[in-house]
Amino acid sequence: MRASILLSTLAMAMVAQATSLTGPRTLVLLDTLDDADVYTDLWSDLEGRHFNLTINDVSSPVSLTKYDRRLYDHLIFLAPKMKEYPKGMNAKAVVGFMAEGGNVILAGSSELANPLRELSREFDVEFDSRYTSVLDHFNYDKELGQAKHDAIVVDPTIHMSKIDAIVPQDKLPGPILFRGIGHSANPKNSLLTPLLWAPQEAYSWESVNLDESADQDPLIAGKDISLVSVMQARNNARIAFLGSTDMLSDVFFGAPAKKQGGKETVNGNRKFIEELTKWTFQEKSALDVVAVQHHKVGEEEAPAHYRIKDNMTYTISLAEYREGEWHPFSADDVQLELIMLDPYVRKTLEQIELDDQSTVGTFTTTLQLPDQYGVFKFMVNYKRPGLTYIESVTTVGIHPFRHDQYPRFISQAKPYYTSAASMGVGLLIFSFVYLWGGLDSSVKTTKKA
Amino acid sequence: MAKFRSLLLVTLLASLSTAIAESWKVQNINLIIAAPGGNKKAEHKLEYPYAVENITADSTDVFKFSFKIENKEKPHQAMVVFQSQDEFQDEIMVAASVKSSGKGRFDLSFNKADAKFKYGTRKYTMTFLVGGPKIEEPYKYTLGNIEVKGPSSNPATRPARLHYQAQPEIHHQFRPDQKLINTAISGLFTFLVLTPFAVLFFLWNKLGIKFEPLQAMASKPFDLINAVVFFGSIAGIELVFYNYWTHVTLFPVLQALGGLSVVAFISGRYVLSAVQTRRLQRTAGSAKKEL
Repeated sequence: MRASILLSTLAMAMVAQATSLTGPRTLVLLDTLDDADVYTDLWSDLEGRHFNLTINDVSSPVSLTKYDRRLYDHLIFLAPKMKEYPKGMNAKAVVGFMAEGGNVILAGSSELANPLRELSREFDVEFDSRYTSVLDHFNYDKELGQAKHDAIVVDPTIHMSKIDAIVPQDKLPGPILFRGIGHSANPKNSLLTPLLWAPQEAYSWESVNLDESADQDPLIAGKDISLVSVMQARNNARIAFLGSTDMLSDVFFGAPAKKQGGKETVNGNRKFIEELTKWTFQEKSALDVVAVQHHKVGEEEAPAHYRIKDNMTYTISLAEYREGEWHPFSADDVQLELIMLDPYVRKTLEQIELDDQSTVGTFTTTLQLPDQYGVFKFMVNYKRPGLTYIESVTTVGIHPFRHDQYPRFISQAKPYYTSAASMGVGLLIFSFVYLWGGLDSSVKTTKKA
Repeated sequence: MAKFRSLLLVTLLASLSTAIAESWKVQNINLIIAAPGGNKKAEHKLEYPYAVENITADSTDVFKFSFKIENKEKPHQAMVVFQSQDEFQDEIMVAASVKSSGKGRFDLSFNKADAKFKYGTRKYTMTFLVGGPKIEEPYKYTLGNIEVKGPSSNPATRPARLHYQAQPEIHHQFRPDQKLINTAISGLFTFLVLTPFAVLFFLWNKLGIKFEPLQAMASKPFDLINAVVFFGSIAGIELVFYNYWTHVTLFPVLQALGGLSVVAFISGRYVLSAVQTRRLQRTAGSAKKEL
């Protein structure tokens, strides 16, 4: 089986480009290589999307970087019992791997040991103690959770976050089956989002010996138990935390979901994992800034600097990656901010109508630069749940009026203009009259008494 | 003997059907709100499925809950969930300890419990849950509503994530234009500035200007040309000044002025000499007259 997996990965390596933006090289860590038989549907799904899987067990040494470059693009931890990292890897290396842009999927189970627990703490995710499970006597699956009520059926319409960019709820054919450990995501961390949480009646408790009743308040219960959480780091690398390795197994993909007191339905695990891996491995919901232009109204090129109260047109083009291609991005809430320590202007950009030839979504606006001169940043700070963070900054200088850009004439100064003009006009009139007015001609009569 | 055998049969059957359709039987559900000193403020005996409404509790009160499980299996979960009735829907689960006799109870003092009770005065729905791995069907009883008052001092603040979303637009307030005086005043003073012209024209009229030299010049072309050139040159100088004032910088002005001033000088000499001739004629004429 091991050989067949390696052969299939070799075969897949010959196939063309990956659909993931980060790359196709994926490292999977298992407790033992025999576990690979448990997840064959998952391998075929991933290889169908052109990922090159390298499946290792935790005893073989592995290195994530070589000569300061990542050797892999994605990392999947399916080894919850791991007591020690494989040689060549440690928590710092995994965090550094993400800082370099690599994406991670970390799946745990009730037997989660310390290394992965401490790794999750780096991301503000706190798994419950070893040998605890999420138990629910009201939502357990009648087949898989018969013995301990630990395999639970989670309704995605109620207990999944409604972020379509990560897992669109309408695409799931049924509820999610989960059996494993619960974790809590720090509610103050804005980068970390719980994706799937436990129903109201669930609680996390030690599950090896269920004869002892749960007589103390459980540490986490109800919706405080996160079953799947995701985080997108500031460099847009993504990591997903799942409390259950069983969720990805062939058994759970194929099992019907029969909740206690409910009807039997198809479960949505396979589609959920497909959408989750697509999001985590940067195959969808990835945005990119293609171009930024700004210029004075009526001109084409960006000037060296602006002047206060100039009218300026700003244009930004964004594209979205999904299904293996870049598509034009559409939104109605992209905003431009003019910032010099504080935002002076914030305006929502309008999108230019897309037509058949559009490859990018173009957003534009025309506004008047503020009264204040200085060094400003034109910033588009677009952060939305599930989408990559867009921070596009253009620094421009805004100069005050030059001495000759003030209004030249004021209507209140008419007396001054008139007096100056009357001097000149008076000179002409006077010289005309003096020279040819006949005041000195001999015809003038002097009355002599 | 027969009794013993039937008893044996019943227990055998009972042990076989442990997982089949058995459910929890809960009795004597008792709810007490007590003040911190110990005296009971309210006591409710609850009967499934009736819910109790309008219970209130202060932040210092103690919520005492007790019940009895009639089944011989011990439940794994015997907890009450409080769910807040605001937009956050916080859930707080409180566990009861169940003794081997089946009696279970818990005491919950709201100020020592989960911080979620301290976010403010809120209404909560209480649901009593009993479940265990050995019995298929769990027990759920919605007990009713309770309003728990938030602490009078130091309420806890709920931790919040930053929600990234479109922020309100900011429109820059431009400095208002400089306030200037009423244009009527400047109009008045413009008029005043022009009044000396009126005085000048009036006085000239009084002196009796008739422009005779102009008529005389018609027959002397040399004088006429000089006059025109001279007047044109000084008008040109005025035009250059106007241009300087509105459009150009100094150097084109100096060039133009240089040319025009030469022309004005030369033609002016002839014009002024004509004036002098007229003056001398007049003096000579009047002298002649006097003679």
